[in-house]
Amino acid sequence: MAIFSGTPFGLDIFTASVVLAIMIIPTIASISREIMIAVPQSQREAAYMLGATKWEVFKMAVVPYSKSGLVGASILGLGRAVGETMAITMLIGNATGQGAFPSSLFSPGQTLSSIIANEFPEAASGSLHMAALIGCGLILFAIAITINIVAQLLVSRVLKTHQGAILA
Amino acid sequence: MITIEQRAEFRKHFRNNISSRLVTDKIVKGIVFGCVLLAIVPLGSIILEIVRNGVPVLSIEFLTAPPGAVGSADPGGIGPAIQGTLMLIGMSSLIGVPVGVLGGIFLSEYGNNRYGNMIRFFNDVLAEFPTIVIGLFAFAVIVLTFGYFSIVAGMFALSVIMLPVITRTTEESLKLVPVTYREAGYALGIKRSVIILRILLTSAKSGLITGIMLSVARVAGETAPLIFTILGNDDFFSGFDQPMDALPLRIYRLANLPYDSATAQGWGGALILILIILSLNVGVRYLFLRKRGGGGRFRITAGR
Amino acid sequence: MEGVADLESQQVDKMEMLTKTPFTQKATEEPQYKLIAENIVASYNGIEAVKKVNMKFRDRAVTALIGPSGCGKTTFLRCLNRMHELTKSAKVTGRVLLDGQDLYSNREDAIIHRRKIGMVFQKPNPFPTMSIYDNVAAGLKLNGVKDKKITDQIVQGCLEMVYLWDEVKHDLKKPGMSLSGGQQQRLCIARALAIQPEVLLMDEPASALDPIATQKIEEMINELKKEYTIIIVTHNMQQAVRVSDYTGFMYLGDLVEFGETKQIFENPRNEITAKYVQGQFG
Repeated sequence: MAIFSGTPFGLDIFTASVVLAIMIIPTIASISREIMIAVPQSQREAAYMLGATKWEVFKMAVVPYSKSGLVGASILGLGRAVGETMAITMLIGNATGQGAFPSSLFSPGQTLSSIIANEFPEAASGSLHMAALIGCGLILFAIAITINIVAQLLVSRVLKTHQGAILA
Repeated sequence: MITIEQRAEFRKHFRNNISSRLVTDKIVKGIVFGCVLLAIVPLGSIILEIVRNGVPVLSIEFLTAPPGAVGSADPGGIGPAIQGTLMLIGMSSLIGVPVGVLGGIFLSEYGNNRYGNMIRFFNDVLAEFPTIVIGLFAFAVIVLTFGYFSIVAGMFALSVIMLPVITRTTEESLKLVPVTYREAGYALGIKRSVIILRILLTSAKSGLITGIMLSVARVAGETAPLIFTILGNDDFFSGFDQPMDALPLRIYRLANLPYDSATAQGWGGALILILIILSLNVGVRYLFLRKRGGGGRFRITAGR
Repeated sequence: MEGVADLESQQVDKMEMLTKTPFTQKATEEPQYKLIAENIVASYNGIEAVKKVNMKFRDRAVTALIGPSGCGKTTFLRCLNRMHELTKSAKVTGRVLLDGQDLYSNREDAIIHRRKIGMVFQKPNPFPTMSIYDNVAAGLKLNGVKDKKITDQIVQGCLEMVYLWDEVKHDLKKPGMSLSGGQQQRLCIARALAIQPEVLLMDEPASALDPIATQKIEEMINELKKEYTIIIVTHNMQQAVRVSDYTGFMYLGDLVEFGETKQIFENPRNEITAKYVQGQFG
C-alpha cells in the first residue's frame, strides 16, 4: 500500500495526526459531555423503566436526542485541529516544493498554519512572500469559519433548551 | 383489548436475554473505560515528562538571567520570557476582562433578542477560532500600521482571544443566578444597573473567576499569534515599541535548537509555564473566593 | 369456550404463584399482596426523604399515595422499581418484595424487575425521535420480541387499552411528539403496558393534563385495575377518591395512615390525616 510506504523517521504526517488527535480530545469530550447532560433525565428514566441496561439507555434515549450535537462537538474538534499551529509545525516535517505533496502517511508534509508560522520570519513586509502568507491566512480563515458555523449551529440546537455553559 | 390468555401468549415471546445483554453492557463499559485511559495516559505522561525533564535545569540563574548566545557554554536563562508572559497576561487581562465581562452582562441581561442571539452565535464561533488567524489580524492592524513589532500588538491579539471565553462564561454564570434575586431587587425599587453590579456580579463571582482563569490559562499558552506580534528577542522589557519575549515562544525556539542544553531549557520553560498558570489559578481563587470556605473547588485548567 | 380458557389461565396463574412463592399458601385467607415494601429508607444527598415506610399493596386494586408536596410520596414510588437510586447521590435501604422476591437482593436483577413493574411519569416523556408505533414497541424490541405479528398485536392491544387506538390507528408512523399532551401521556402508559408488567406505578399521571384528558386517564385506570396492581401518586384528593381502593397518607417522609380509601377520607383515625383530607393544609 502506497499510503504506508517509506521509512517513518518521526517528523511526518502520521506523528502530527496522532498528536493532533490527542490535542482535540478535551474539546470534543467536554462539549459532548455538556450535550449529554442536556438530555432530559425523563428520557433516560423512560428507557430504564422498560428494563434497559445502561448501554441500551444510551442508545435509546441519549443518542437520538443528542446526535446532531455530538456531530457538532466533533466538528468543533476538527475546527480546533485545522487551526492548530505550533505542535504541527514542530512535528509535520515541513516539506517544501513538490515534496510537500505527501506520498505516504510517513512522509513529511505541511499545513496552512505551519507554512505561515515557518516562513513568516523570512518574509519581508510588503513583499509578495508576505502577501502569499497572509493569503494562506485568508484560506485558513474561510475554512475555519465554515467549520465553526456549521458546528455551532448543530451544537446550539441541542443546547437551546439547556442553560449549561460550553466552556471553550 | 388484550385478554388474559393473550397476555400469557405474549409473555412466551419475551426472551430471557438479560444475561447476554448484560455481557454487552459490560463489554461497552470496558471499551469506554479503555478510551478514558487512552485519553488520560498522554495527559499524565506530559505532566510527568515535563516535571522529570524540567526540574534539573531549575536554578535562580535560569529564572532570572537573559538567554546566552546560541550554542555557547553558558545557556543563560529565561528571565525575559517569564517577564514577557506575566506582562502579556496582565495587559491582555486589562482589556479582555472588562470588555468580556461587560459583553457577558449585555448578553445575559439585555441580549434576549435577535441581536443578542447573533452576537452570542458569533462569539461562540470566535471562541473556537484558529489563533494563528487572530495573530495575522493583529499583525495587519497593529504591526503594519505602526511599523514595529511590540508587546502592544501581542496584548491586542491575546485580548481578542480572551474575549469570547470571558463573555461566554460571564453570561452563563449570570444566567445561573436565580431570577428571584433580580425580582427581589426590582421589588425594592433598586435601579437595574445597581442590581447588576451589586447583586448579580457578586452572586456570580465564582463562575466569573473560573471563566477569567480559563481564558488566562488559554492565552498564557498561546504561541502562534505571538510570532506575528511580539516577535521574540533576548532582552528584558525595554519599551512598548520594542519586540518582547514570552515563555511559549521561548520554549518553541529552544525546542527547535539542535543543542541538548537548549532542549533541557525548553523543558524547564514548560514546567515554569505550567507552574505560573497553576499558581495564578490557585492564588486568584484564594484571594477572591476565600470567604466561601470552599477550599476544594480548584479546577486546574492547563493551557492548550 | 371462552370461560374454560379463562378458568384454565387462571389456574395457570395460580400454579405459577404457588411454585414461585411458597408463602402465598398461608396467605390465602389473608388478602393477597402483590408488592410488599419493608423498611424503605430513601435519602437524597444524605437527607432522608422517606423514613422507614412499610406498606403492602393488594393485587388487582388501586392504591393511592397522597400527601403534601415534599412528603416523600414520589420518592417512595420510585423506590418500588429501583428508579430512585438512578438519581445522583440518592440512596435506598430496605426490601421490596414482588411475589415474595426481593427486588433489592441483586444489583443486576434491577433490570429484570423494572420490566415487571411499569412506570408512568409526571410529565409525558415519549421518545421524541421515534414514531407512535416505535414508542410502544420500544420495550418489546429490548426484551427480544422478534415476531412482527406479535409486536403488531401488542401495540394495537396496548393502544386500545389506553383508548388511543382509534385516534392514532392511521398515523402510527407519525412521531410521538406530534400528539397532544393527554395523548402523549396515554402513549406513555401504552408503552409501559407493552412490556406486560404486573404492577403499574403512576406518578401524578394527570397533573399536566386538562380535565377531559384527566377523565380519560381515570376511566382507563378503572379498567386496568382488573388486571394490574396499580399504585398512583396524586395531589388531587378527588382523584384519589374516584380511582383508588386503598389510600396511604404520607407526611414528612412517614406513612401516617393507610387503609381503605373510604375510611381515610370519611373517617380518618389520625389528626393530621383528617386535617389534610379536609383541605386545612397542603
